Amino acid sequence: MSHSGNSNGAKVIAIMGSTGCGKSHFLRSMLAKRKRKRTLIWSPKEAIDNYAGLYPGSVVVTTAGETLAALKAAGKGEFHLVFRPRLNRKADEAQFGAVCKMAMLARDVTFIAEEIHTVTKPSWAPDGWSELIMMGRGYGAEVFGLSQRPASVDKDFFGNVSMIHCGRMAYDDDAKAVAKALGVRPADVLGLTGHQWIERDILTGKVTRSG
Amino acid sequence: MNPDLDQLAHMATQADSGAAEIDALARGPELDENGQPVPVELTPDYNHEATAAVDLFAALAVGYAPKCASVWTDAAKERTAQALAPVLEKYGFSFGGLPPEVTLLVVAGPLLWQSSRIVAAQINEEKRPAPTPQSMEQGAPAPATAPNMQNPNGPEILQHAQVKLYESQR
Repeated sequence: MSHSGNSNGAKVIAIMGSTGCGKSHFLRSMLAKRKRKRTLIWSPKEAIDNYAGLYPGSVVVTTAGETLAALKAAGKGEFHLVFRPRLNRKADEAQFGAVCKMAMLARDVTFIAEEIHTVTKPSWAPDGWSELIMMGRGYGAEVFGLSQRPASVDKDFFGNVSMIHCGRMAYDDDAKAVAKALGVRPADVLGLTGHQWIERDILTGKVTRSG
Repeated sequence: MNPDLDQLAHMATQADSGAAEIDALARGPELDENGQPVPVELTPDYNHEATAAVDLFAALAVGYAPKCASVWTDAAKERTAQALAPVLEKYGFSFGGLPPEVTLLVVAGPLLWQSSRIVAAQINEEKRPAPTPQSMEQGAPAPATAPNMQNPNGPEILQHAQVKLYESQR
């Protein structure tokens, strides 16, 4: 039986945790479960993360115009795009919103957004991101949102995720924000060390912890 | 073809505008073949141009006729500048393109005009005959006034003090 709720909601996975807690490792293990043919990755720390090396033939773009051209050229075929923003908040927010919209309308895209706290705020997010989160499923979208500062991420995102995975947190306010989304006590999150994690499947309510 | 994506060209352009500015700043000025910076043609700020033009004209008018100050209030100048800005933009007019001689004339003209009037008044003042010692001793009494006997309700008639002495001896 299918789950209740908005049937157009995308498959949205939140991956939260301090730097070095294993977010990228978890993401890559998720992506390795099946082959993705159409990926668009928002990668502010591309110099470190090297998402372009994840899929052969990946193309690094830096503008919404380049992204749109690449998506149109790909049509319904395979593509792997890595968007490297400039780390300027205002410019990045505008481009992030546009790229999200493109990812949704291109259809059947796996969209991965790193450091989403740099392009959203607790009570605000670009329209394109909100639309992708809320309506992406109808366009076959799959979304992974990553951040080390969940307290600075838009709250609507946590309200629309289908799964949340959390590693250790450095700050109390981040631990509280993510604990609320996980449905656990903040102390449980603050108690995580090393590569320990807590995960909650929002659809089933099942909470899993690392051994 | 994806008609949904075809509609996003304008949005992409808008989204990239901020990034383009950052890129331009990061690149620094373009260099010519000699390695010298190529001057950048900036679009004039027509609102600023209009405000400056109106201020200049108001200063010109008030400089020539100070009573115009009551006409060219700050509010009046602001309204005029708001109306002028689109006209300047329509014709691509910038005061930056004016010859410096014209700008000097417009700026310094009213000051020179008022200065010349003040100097002329001072010259005329200096041309008046100096008061004689006798008049200084007598104190050069001011003209006295006498009632208008023919018409008591009419204006008083100016009367020299010495005439008044004769009248007192009658």
